[in-house]
Amino acid sequence: MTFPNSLPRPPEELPRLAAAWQSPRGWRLASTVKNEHIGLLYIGVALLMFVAAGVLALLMRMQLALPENTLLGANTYNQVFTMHGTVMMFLFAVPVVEALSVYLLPGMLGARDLPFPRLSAYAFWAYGIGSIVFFCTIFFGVSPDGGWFMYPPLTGKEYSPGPGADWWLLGIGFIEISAIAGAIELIIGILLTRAPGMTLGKMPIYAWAMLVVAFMIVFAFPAIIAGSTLLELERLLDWPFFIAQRGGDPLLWQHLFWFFGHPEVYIIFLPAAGMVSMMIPVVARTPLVGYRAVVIALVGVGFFSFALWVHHMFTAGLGTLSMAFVTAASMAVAIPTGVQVFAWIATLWRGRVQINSIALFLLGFFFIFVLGGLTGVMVAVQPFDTQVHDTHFIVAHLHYVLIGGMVFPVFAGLYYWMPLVNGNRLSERLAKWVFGLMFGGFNIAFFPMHISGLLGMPRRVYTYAPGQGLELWNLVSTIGAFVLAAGVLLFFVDVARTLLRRQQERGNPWQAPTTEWLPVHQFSMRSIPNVHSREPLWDHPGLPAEVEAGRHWLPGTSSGLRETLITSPVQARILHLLRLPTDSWLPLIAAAGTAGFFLLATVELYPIAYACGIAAIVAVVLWLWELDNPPHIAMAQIGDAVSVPVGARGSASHAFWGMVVLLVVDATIFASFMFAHVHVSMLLNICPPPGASLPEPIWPLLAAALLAAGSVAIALVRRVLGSRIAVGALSLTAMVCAGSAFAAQMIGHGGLEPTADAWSATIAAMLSYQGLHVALLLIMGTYLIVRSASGRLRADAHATLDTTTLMWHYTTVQGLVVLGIVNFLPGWMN
Amino acid sequence: MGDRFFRQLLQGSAPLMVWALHFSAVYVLAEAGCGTAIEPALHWALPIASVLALATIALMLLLRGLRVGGRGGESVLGTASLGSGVLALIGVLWTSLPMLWLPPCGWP
Repeated sequence: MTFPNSLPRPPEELPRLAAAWQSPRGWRLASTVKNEHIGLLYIGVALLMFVAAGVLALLMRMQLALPENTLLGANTYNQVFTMHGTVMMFLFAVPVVEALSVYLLPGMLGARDLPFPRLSAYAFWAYGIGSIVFFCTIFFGVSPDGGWFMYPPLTGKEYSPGPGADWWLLGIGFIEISAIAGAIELIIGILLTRAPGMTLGKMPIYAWAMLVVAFMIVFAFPAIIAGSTLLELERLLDWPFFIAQRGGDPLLWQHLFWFFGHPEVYIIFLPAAGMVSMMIPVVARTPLVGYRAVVIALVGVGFFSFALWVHHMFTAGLGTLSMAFVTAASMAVAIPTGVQVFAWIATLWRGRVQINSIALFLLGFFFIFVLGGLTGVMVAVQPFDTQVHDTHFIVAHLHYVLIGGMVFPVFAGLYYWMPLVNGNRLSERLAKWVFGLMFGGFNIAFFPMHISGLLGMPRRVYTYAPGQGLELWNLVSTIGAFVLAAGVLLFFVDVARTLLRRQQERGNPWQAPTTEWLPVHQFSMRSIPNVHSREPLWDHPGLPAEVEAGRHWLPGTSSGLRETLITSPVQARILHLLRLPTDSWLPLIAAAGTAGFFLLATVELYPIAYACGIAAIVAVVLWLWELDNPPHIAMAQIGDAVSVPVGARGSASHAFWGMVVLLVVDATIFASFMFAHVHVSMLLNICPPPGASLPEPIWPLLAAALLAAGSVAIALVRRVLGSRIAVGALSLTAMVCAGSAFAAQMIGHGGLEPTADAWSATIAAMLSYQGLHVALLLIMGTYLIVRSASGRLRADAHATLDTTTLMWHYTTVQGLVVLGIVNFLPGWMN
Repeated sequence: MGDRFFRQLLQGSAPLMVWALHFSAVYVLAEAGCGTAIEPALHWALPIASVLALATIALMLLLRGLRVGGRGGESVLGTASLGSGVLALIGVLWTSLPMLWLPPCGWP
């Protein structure tokens, strides 16, 4: 067999590689951007949120243990159940699956690190700071209390005048930014940084699951960001998007929320399913049955999950046939889900199953999740759903799905991957107790809720009267909840015990087949493996020794900096060498500034909030300033006889595609605003409504011409890169055009009264979003000019121009769509 | 991105995109068309949308069959076009079933 690199390796190669990946120690570790560290911190905070929200659940169960209990008052109970749901869904479930993937994927893909490590660090710190501050609101009695889905009008200013709803809207809305940042990292990382030879067909199934999930995040999360923005604007500025008396519609919120909320269930479940597909072959000692069928099923679930949002609105009075379509789609999603379940069963059938901690939690997952799936099919039937809507039957169903479908697989995963942290496994003996307590406790807690729900026990009500047959079921549920909590507590005791043990050679304790079990150091693997199969460690037992000896790709560093390989998205052919950014405080400062801006604005400390916002912008600019440098050498040697280009430009660069994904997110947020406008327009008898009017045609025409001119000017910059004056002049022209176009739009809408009616408010929202983009273009244009003037914008380093140009063209298109929809929709509606 | 990635991605997911388009179309028509001037047209527009979607997916599967034939060794995205075609076909059929016993607007 021939290897990319021969032995012996040059003696200076290893120390140089180790120096490049050296991490800071002590408190300076907060500046790390390595995904190995960020992933662990991320997992830690997510598990902290799990425990915190679990304590709230115990409080609820204590309150409901007895009828007419007075442990918690109604107001406190409202805050507790709202925070429990919100924290579990937004601050534990989604973050923990992203956190695990940030930690696991570099190794699993055979990459030294993911392509945007600073973005990962920013995402983590934004989430970490935001979630801890958000949770602390419960200690001051100012938490949101409108339920985790925050339906208006209950959460509008009239019925929720306090800051609780604002904490939810601004806090959670901003934390979602970190989920999207994580998704961009995952998409580009999975598609472009896989080890050479790891074609899509040989990629670990978990990476497939995370790829699908990352795309789902890109299309689902913008809806909740847009919805939160609209509700916050209504609360802050009295723009009546959801106020029926002024042409708004509370159902608009439900559509936006559930268009995010239902896919989120699968955003949580699919990573867990991916983990299950990784662990079952190890437990059964045989490859996954039906790999390709499982991949197709993952993609199918991803698609189908976007058609199910209305099944959360079956009692909202929508059309009979349209709801029947959703019922059908809700049942259809069982097909791809079933494909995965049968693939797992077939794998277990074919192999020789070892009953250990992982197997126990996987079997627990099967049992609980299948029951949750079956009650899911029940509530997909509208007449049944109408009966059990807002009862504890739904509470039981969603916990069977989420705890069964996500918590048990994640716990199995923690047992499985724990040795990656310090070489030590969690206790197998304690695992039996942990599993027994969790599995038993869960079923004792939640199975009775099916019965209490059918007996009429409502959700989100802080107490109940005696004599309705609910006492026994509630008491049993409470006992079960504490048994479940005891299992979780025992697990964390074992985790603490394991983490405190001495670091060991981690080896491959489960005899797993995938590359995250290759030997690693601070620089990840000594060399990047050449992958030839889906189970490289089973098919090629000598691979760890070869990788460790430096016989595979890139056994050193060509620049003295951190590097990884960029490979093609389907065949994983080597394309170029990517220099990765090093550790920096800037992501932490930017995240703290962003968190400060949103969270302090919530408590109306505007001057400090603005200062934080400016600090965040400055930190991001400084962070970007260090990037986009010309390559240190044109070609770098990664094998004895193989050299590849260093870096790439234009559409060959990872930054370009990162920007494209970001713009897809941007466009989806805008589409949500547009949907809001169309939705409220359809409620009108006459469009525009009385008192409102369209702009004179001259203004939209002028704005359109200026937008197009700005795009042309910025596109021309590429041709004059050699001349700093020409770059400056064209950039300035483009900025003037963009600013003037927006001014023309605003002048045209001079008479717009956003507080008068929802139609005007939705136009104001779209104009505001366009204005935000124009402001961004002015910052990016100025940055471009400064970068050019300092000689950093060159023919061999122009990622800044590429990304600016992409954003510019997007803003132009968005502006033209705003003009079109505002001016042409009324004619069509009438 | 190289590898004709987008072309392969499109081939692999096109049937599910047709399913998504079909679902969006019939949902929006049924939800927004009732009580408007287009209500009478819903009786034939909805079934026609389903027939068109089914025909398109079937055509995609047929073209794929002609292209691939009995050859093995397809990429995972190539196999996906078959799997997503079957899933999309079932999805459209299943989603369209309620049209057989429910009127476009109101109750039967």
